[in-house]
Amino acid sequence: MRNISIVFGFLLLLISCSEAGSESEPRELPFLGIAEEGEHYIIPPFAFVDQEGAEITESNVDGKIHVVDFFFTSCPDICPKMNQQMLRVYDEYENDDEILILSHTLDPKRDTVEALKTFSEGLGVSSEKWKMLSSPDHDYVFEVCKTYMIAAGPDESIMGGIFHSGKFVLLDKERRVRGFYEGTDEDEVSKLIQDIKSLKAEGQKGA
Amino acid sequence: MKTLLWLIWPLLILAGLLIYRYTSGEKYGAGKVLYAKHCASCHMEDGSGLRGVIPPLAQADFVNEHAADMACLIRYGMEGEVVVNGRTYNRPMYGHADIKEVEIRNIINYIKNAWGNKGAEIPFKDIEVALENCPDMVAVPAP
Repeated sequence: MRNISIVFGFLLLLISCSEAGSESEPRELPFLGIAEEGEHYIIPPFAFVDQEGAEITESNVDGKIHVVDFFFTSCPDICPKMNQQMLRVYDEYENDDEILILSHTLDPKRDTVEALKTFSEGLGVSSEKWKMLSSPDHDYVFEVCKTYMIAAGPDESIMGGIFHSGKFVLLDKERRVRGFYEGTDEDEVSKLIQDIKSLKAEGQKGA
Repeated sequence: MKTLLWLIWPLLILAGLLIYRYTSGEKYGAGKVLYAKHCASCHMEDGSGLRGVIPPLAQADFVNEHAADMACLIRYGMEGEVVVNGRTYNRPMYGHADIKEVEIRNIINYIKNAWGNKGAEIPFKDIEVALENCPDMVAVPAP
């Protein structure tokens, strides 16, 4: 009997600890990427076109917390799940002017500006908040994804013809990389949604 | 007597577990595995689809009304508009020539009885007939 109460006590302790851990206290996010000593890695300048045909450069994310991913609309395996999870981020921050989402197509040949517009209209999302980016230079995106530390490239041997990581990248208002999250994993994306709150709190402190 | 009781306890628990295992939910286990492999990446594990882009299967009127046609859709894919629960979707679904008849049946019967869906099981014969009579369909190639 005594043994049983010890086990129960331990279980209770475990449960209370894990609940304490899941509370939404702002946490300090790391600065990721390699930079000169004493500095932080910053995403280099870029230039894409969004689903409205407007040019989008690094100046558009100036002062914005932003979430970035790489996908393509005909991708048959991980992309629908990534899109579904990014919709959660979108829904959470739809009316928050501090937040932007940038989704880059890895297949600009098929994902033209019009195709991306149709896709984003299907999802029912605002092009002001969630930008679907392409470039007339079809190889450009493979250069840019490296600057976000995202692996992707053509691969004729797999369905869809392009391999790519499903990670979401979280960036702060100065284009510094603050987190990576598996875009197909609900728990990880919940953590991303929490971490955005931490970044917003950081901004308020003036850090 | 006491020792006997201690012996019976684990046996009762084991029996309970076995009864639970064979009476609960796993009736469409094979379909569930096949669904996870072939369908879930687009229609999602919970059958919810992708909002506005990929139609849901959970609680979807289409599933009840077109259960047999679904055999052709799985094999050949589909293109053009489709209305599900009053919403129009228009993204190509590619065909799955690699899924065998019996597997198609398992998948359809799983879909018809998962996530709150409730439908009569489709007999294998109906799947065969449906597949022999698919409308002139050209398989939508995988991307």
